[in-house]
Amino acid sequence: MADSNKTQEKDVLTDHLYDGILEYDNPTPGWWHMIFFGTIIFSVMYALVYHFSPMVPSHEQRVEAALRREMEQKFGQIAKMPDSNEKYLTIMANPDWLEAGKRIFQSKCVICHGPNGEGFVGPNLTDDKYKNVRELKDIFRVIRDGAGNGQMPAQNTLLNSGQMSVVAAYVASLRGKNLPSGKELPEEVPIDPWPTLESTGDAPAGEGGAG
Amino acid sequence: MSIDAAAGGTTHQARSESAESTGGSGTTQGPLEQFTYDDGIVRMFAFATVLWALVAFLVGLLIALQLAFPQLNLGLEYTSFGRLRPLHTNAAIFAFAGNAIFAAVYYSTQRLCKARMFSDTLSRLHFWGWQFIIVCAALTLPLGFTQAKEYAELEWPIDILIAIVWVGFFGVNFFGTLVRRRERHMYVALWFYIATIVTVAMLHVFNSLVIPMGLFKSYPIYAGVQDALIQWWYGHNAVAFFLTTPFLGLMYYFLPKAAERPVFSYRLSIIHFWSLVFIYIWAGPHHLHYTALASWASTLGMLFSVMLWMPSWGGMINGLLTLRGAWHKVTQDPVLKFFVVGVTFYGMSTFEGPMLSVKLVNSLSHYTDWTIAHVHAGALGWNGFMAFGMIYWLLPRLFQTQLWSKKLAEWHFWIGTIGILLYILSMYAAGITQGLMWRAFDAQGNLAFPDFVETVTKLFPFYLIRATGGGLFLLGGLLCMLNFVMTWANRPKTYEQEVHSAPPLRPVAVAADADAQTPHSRLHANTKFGHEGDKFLQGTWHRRLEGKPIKFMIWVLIAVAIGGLVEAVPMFLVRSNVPTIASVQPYTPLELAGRDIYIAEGCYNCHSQMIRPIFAEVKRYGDYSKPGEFVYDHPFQWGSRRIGPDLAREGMSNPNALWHYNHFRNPRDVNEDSVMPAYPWLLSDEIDWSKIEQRVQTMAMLGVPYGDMVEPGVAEEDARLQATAIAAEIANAGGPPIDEIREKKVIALIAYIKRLGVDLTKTPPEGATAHAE
Repeated sequence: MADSNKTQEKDVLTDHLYDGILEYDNPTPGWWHMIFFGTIIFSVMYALVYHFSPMVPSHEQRVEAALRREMEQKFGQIAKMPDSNEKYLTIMANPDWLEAGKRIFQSKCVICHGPNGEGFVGPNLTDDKYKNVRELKDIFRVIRDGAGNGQMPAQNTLLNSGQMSVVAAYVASLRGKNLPSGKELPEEVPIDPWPTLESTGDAPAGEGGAG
Repeated sequence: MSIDAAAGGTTHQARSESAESTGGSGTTQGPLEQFTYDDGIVRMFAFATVLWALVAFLVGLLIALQLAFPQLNLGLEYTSFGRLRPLHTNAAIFAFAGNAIFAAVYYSTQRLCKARMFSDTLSRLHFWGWQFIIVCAALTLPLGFTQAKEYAELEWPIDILIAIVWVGFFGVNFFGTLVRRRERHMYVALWFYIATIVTVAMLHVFNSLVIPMGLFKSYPIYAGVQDALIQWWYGHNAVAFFLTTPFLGLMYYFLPKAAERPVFSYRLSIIHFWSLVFIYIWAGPHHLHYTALASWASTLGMLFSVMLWMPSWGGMINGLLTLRGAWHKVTQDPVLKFFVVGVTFYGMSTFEGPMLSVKLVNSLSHYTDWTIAHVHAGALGWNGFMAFGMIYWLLPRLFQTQLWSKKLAEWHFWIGTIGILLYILSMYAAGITQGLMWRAFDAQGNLAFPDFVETVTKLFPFYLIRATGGGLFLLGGLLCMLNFVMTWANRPKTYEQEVHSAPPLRPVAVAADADAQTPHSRLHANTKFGHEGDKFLQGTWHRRLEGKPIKFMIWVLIAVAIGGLVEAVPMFLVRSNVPTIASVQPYTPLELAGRDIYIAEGCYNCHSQMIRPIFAEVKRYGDYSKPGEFVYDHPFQWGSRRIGPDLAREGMSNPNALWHYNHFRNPRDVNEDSVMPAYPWLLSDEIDWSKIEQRVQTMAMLGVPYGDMVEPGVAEEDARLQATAIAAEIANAGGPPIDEIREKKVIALIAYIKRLGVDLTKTPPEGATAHAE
């Protein structure tokens, strides 16, 4: 049984013998102790810092702060604008904001309105006929409060007003593409074309973002 | 000695050993007793191990392929992913690993105790009882009878059977053998078996406390956050005490036997055993990072997982260093090859586990295939290879002939190893890819992949590689079965029954044994405390404990009870851990019926209901989940993997009933890239209206405030009204007419889906206060 080599000569056997199995009386390796105690010290310190240090905010505080920051950065200007047709025309003129609206649309709206707004279980948004919208700023209201007895769900608990504004502008921008519809609803009626920034007089304050 | 060694050699060893070991402990007096070992039961468990391995691997391969090709759900409710995945996990853990454990325990315990099993009848009852449980599982899970808690899906009558077989047959048989042993001290393998039996019994009983509703349905007594805590206390420690401790016991017996080398360090085995069993039990909450579980509990889960690293590695060190001086044998012996790779995977997984439990790492890995890679490194590498190594070592000894083909065993080893590597590497890539895609933002600060299905279709190639790896592992299992059957075919006409002899243990020897080992302090000038400490460190107290199985068992029970108590008691008693929300109300009777369909279909296998307080997650799914939202959830349905999107706020973000109707009929009608199975049977099967009332009444027994709803007839009427309303909504939106659909199961399920997450922002009803205490 004894394949002799250098390390084994130092090993001392215990007097244990179980069904032919012997046990050495070797000490536990030093690095094993070091790391074990290291993890214990780390754990105590981690718990103290994580739970009792004011420098470490909780996950919840962190995510709230991130949402607030995002709101200010992305939609600060939009939030200051009064709710008017001009507001949405201004957003429609800004590709960044429109892109933000498109992203939200893709994650929340395509399920019913189709990937390009052509309609699916919800109405086609690319033609000139609308069900709950009569003028540009109505789109925001439909998104915020929902319509059709909840078939179109209210988004005000899911999105903030800046997000709803950019989605509204994006939806408005889909008009005129006239994609073949997945859905024709009898209660949809044609409405006047959107106004233009020129026709509404001076651009509102905060137009600086337009690019 | 090679793998082909005939069993005769062991007898000789056993004889000479009994003479040696008894010499020191003063028990040589008394006549020698003659006894034989029961190897028949080991043969039975060994065959069951390989048989169930094939089933577990095959079902695993099928569901792996279903993720790449949803059509492989075969259009049948019984073979859909949500129902087969629990069958796969249960078969792998309790059928394959379970039978391997029993084979190891029954073979080694008899030899380590120098005693035949306490009762051959109990052994057979254990074997057949366990196989009956497995067959029950294989029948009930595809039928949709489930408690919807991972690895604890089996319904209450089977749970009772498990408790009877585990404690009444296995436990009594094992401890009876320990009591009747002829070896003074228990070897380390037996310590691990003791920890396994005691702790699994404790976990199983407390996680399975339910109120039955008929023979095939029950609701757990815990709800929401508390149910989650208990479930993962169980789930994590099923890994610890079903897949780790018994396999360490297996390793401690079979590895030194196969290598014919002494175990590296007795002292290390003491310290890593006790630190392992004490620390492991605390680690459960690391499955619940960033969830609605109170953060102090999740921190405990993380830190105890980090501290678990070295206790786990103690086992790996003792395994690998035992091979010093025997490495040349590894090249020639497939058994040792399996063991070396198995122990290496154990070391890798037990480093990865603590790493994944660090909150920041977990925020990326959780809900992704990284977890799947991690568990398969453990299950295929550690459990699989240790079990196969043991089987190949046992075959010539059990069947008293040579292994049919050593070459085939070598092939199994290499095919299996390549299979594991393909499996885990592809799943690491898939997990990290998907985790990063979920949290990716574009330059404008929007989610880069807002459509969830994009993050699934991307994984298609990885799923193919994974299926290839799993297929290879299955092929290896088939080679093992072939080798098993052919070796069995070459068995002798009658097995030779070796008669062993040893003196009985005499109770008086206990005192003598203890006296012989009274430690003396090796220190010179020191305080009394110092001397006592030095005596303690010499460990003779442990040597004495090894001679007292019942006392040993009680200490193990204390060690494993502490962690669970410290985490669970405050969670149940301190209300601030689950702040109630007045607007959160019980499910309506129809929603409750729908929830039971959600459970029966195993939706939780692919969908979470837990939005973490992480920016990207809140952007994708809405406001993060609060503990008070789940107070009526018996059982909780937070899930552990997102193959589909989170559904915690589905009722808010997608309440369109027609969309859901179409989606259940065929997900690819509304989303061509979806990998979700179609559920046509939900559109044709009718709601069982007679059970509506029973559901509400059972929930009311659990403390859910249903008020007048429990009166006869009220719940059913309420459910029918709601079903008609939803059917009308679908019909009005252009779906099938009301009368065609309002009795169907899909309506109840849609009612439940529409309810998910909506209570949070509602106005609380008049006079509503926090009900759940």
